[in-house]
Order: sequence, then structure tokens, then C-alpha cells
Amino acid sequence: MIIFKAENLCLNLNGKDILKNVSLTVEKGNAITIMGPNGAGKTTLMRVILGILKPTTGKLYFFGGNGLNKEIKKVIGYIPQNLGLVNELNVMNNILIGALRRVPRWRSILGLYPNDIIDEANELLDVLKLSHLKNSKVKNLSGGEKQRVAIARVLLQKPLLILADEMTASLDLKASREIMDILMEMKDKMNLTLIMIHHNPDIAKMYSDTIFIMVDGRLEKVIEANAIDRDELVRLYER
Amino acid sequence: MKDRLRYVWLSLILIIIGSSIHLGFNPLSLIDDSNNGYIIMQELLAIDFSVADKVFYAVIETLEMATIGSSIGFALSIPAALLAARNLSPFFISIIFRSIVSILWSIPPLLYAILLVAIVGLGPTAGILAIALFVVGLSGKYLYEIYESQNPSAYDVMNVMGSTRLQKVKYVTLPEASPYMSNQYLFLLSYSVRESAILGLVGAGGIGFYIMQYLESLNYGKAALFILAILIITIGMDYLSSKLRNKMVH
Ligand SMILES: Nc1ncnc2c1ncn2[C@@H]1O[C@H](COP(=O)(O)OP(=O)(O)OP(=O)(O)O)[C@@H](O)[C@H]1O
Ligand SMILES: [Mg+2]
Repeated sequence: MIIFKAENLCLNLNGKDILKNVSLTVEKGNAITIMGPNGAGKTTLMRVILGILKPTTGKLYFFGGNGLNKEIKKVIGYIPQNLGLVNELNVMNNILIGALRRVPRWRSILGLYPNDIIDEANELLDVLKLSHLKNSKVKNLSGGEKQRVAIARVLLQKPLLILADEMTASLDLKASREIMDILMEMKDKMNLTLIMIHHNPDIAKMYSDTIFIMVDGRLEKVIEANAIDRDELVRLYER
Repeated sequence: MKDRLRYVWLSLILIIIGSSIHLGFNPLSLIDDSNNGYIIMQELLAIDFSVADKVFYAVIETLEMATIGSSIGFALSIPAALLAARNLSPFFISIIFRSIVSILWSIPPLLYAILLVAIVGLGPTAGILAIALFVVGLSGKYLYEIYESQNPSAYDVMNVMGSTRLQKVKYVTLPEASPYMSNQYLFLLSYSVRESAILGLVGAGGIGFYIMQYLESLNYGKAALFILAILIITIGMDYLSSKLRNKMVH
């Protein structure tokens, strides 16, 4: 089943073509990775998919035929390139932001979350090994801890589709793998679909079904991740 | 580049000299025999402590005026700044509130006090309102700039989820700005102590009111004690507020 489809997306900002005829299809339950050099347009493509930027031309379809509307926004999660955490709030309150759209508005404004949501948040804290940091301000956390908070937040949203922009960027390979292992475990458990951006070819190959290579605003190549070897990927990427 | 800088300095000096000639400004007139400067100085230095009890009440009144005025002004400046911030408010609303804040900021507190004394009469009420109005402008301008310069990616996350403005304000804007806001409040407290000390000159309560009275009746020694009081509470408040602000940062 196709969960997301983009058709001929073009984006022109200030006279510069940033996305050039990008088409992309994602099957439900798949994990795809977009790779490519700095400035290729990966983040911009994600922002168009998320509705933060409007494409100049082209179409987006979610869940077999719908454009981006309020109900669909509820089930699309986003982890931006620098995580988008609220530094002055503690870990628990950052995670609860993920549940904003799952509770009545007055509850979210008063900060009165129902017990089942609090329980879910605590469970996620547990899975992501953040329980001991529950009351710490996010600004005092390490890079890896922040990534885990961002994952917990997006998971509490109960999304069907997650877009994650370089979520392991600042981590070493070991920490990256730990984070990605947890995400994959949750992906299976919650039946998620993932659209990711990675720079590390090992991570990309290990954790995705399909890799899209983006160069200069174009999707140049689509590769099944298990059908290529690492060197080929590095070559394609560095071209 | 270096040459151009030299021209800037040169023309600045010429402007200062030209303006002084235009205004007939002569700093030497301060020590000229034909002036009363020397006599007044002497009388001021003979501080008259017989009015110490009045000074005490005037200081309390000034501190109260400053605290109430700046607190009201600060509280009102928060919604004003939220409505003025481009990233939080619809285009036209933000233009309207930016203008309101700028206008309130551009009028000095003493001018508000003159107008308010005419409206609500002599006394601290006029002073409190004058401080509050100016502080809405001063603090509103500062706060909307803080709100607008916040990291946009937390807002992106909220927008993608389809959150409302109120949710964004509660979960991103206010918490991220809170260290700046408490700093700002402490600064405003000490700032408005200094401002409200002089508002009495136009009849709006506080220390200045007595200074004006004693100066007019040529009681320089008594006025001097009130001036000394201004010096002490201004420096005292500045010290206290910067000490507290430092404490909060660390
Ligand atoms: N608002 C904008 N106006 C004009 N140009 C923009 C704008 N936003 C991005 N760009 C340009 O679009 C191009 C793609 O940027 P984008 O951030 O999508 O690259 P990226 O592939 O994510 O790179 P990186 O790997 O460094 O994150 C860049 O050349 C960038 O300068
Ligand atoms: Mg990017």
C-alpha cells in the first residue's frame, strides 16, 4: 500500500530552482533514506512534504489520495535537522508536546494531560533510557540524550509517518546505531513508515529499504539498500 | 576604508563645534563669576538633615511607584509583544501592535507624567501610570524582538502537527524566552526607580515632588538631602538588580 507519493515537485525560491521535478513513492511500513551532498535540497524536499513550504508546481498525496489536511497533519511526525526541542523545558514537558493534538485543546493549554498519556510518556522515557532525566532541562543534556528526547516526542504523537532530518548527525557511529536500533524497534511495534535523511552511508544502508540519491535538486537514483555494496554508495554520493 | 573613517570622525567633530556655536554653548559659564553656580553649590553641600523623616517616606513612595508601575507595564508588555511578533501574529495585527509599542516607547516618561497629572491630578497615581505606559513600550519592543529571534525549528515541529497559536506560545515562546524575561523585569524595576524619582518634578509623586518644592522655596540644603536619596536608591537598585540577574544566569 502506498502511504505517500510526490509527483513532479518543483520549487523555485527567489529565482533559484531548488527542487527540480522530484517524484517519490513510499510504501507503508518502509524506511527510505534520502542522501546527497550539502545543499542538494534534501531538507527543502522534506519541508515541502511537510507543508512548511509550498511547491511551485507538483502534487502530494498522503494515504492514497489526500492532500495535506488537519487530520493528516496529526499523524505526521517531524524531527528537524536541529531537533526543534524547547531548551528551557524539562524532558517530560518536551515529550508531552508530542501529545498536543491527542488531547482536547483546553487540556493542552492548561498542561493537564490525562493519565493514560502520562503513562505512555513514562513508558517511552523508559524505552529510551531517559527516565532518570525526566525533570532535567533539555539544555543540559548531551547530544545523544537530546536525540532520544526528540524520538520520544515524535512517538508520543502516535504518527503513521515520520520524517527525520539527519537525526544522528552529531553522534558517533556507536551512538547512532543505538538510536537507530531503538527507532527501528518502535517502527516495527507501531507499524511506522520512515522518510529519513542521512549522510553516513553505513547507517543509510543498514537502516533503510530504499535509498534515494539527491544531487542538485534532482532525485538522481533510486537504489534498493540490500542490493548494493557500500563502496558503490560512497561513489554515487561523492560524485 | 581607513580614509573614509577619518572623514567620518572629522565631520563629527565639525558638527559638534558647529552646533555649540549655534546654541551659544560655553562650558566655561559654569565657573564664571557672574553666575550663581558657586553659591548654589555651597548651599547644596550644606545638607539639611532636619527633613530626614520626609525623605524616608518619599523614598518608600518612589520605590512603591516604580514597583507598581513597572510591574503593570511589564505584564501588559507580554501580550503586546506576542501580538506584535511577526512569527506569532497575523500580519495586520502585528503591524498594529508594533506601532502601538513604538509610539508608547517614543514618548519619555516625564511627558506622560505631565499629561497624566492634568488628567488624574497631582500625586503618585499619575506617576505610576506614566511609568507603566512607558514600560509597555520599552519592554514590548525588547520582548517582540526576543520572540522573533527564537529558533524556528521548534515552531516547525508545532506547525507540522497543526498546533494553535496559543499552544505555540505556551510550549515554545514563553518557556524559551523566560530567562530573558525575568532579566528584563529586574532591569525594568531598577530603571523605573530612577525614572520615578524625577517624575515628582511635574507633580506626579515621589522624591522629585519634594525636590521641586524645596528648590522653589530656595531651601537648597533640604533639596540636597532628597537628591542624595535619589543617588543612593538608584545606585542601590542597580547593584541589587545586576546582582540578582547574575545569580539567575549562573
Ligand atoms: N529560503 C530559501 N531561499 C533561498 N534559497 C534557499 C532557501 N532555503 C534553502 N535554500 C537553498 O536551497 C538549497 C538546498 O538547501 P537544503 O537545506 O535543502 O540542502 P540539504 O540537502 O538539506 O543540505 P545539508 O546536507 O547541508 O543539510 C541550498 O542551496 C540553499 O541555499
Ligand atoms: Mg539539510
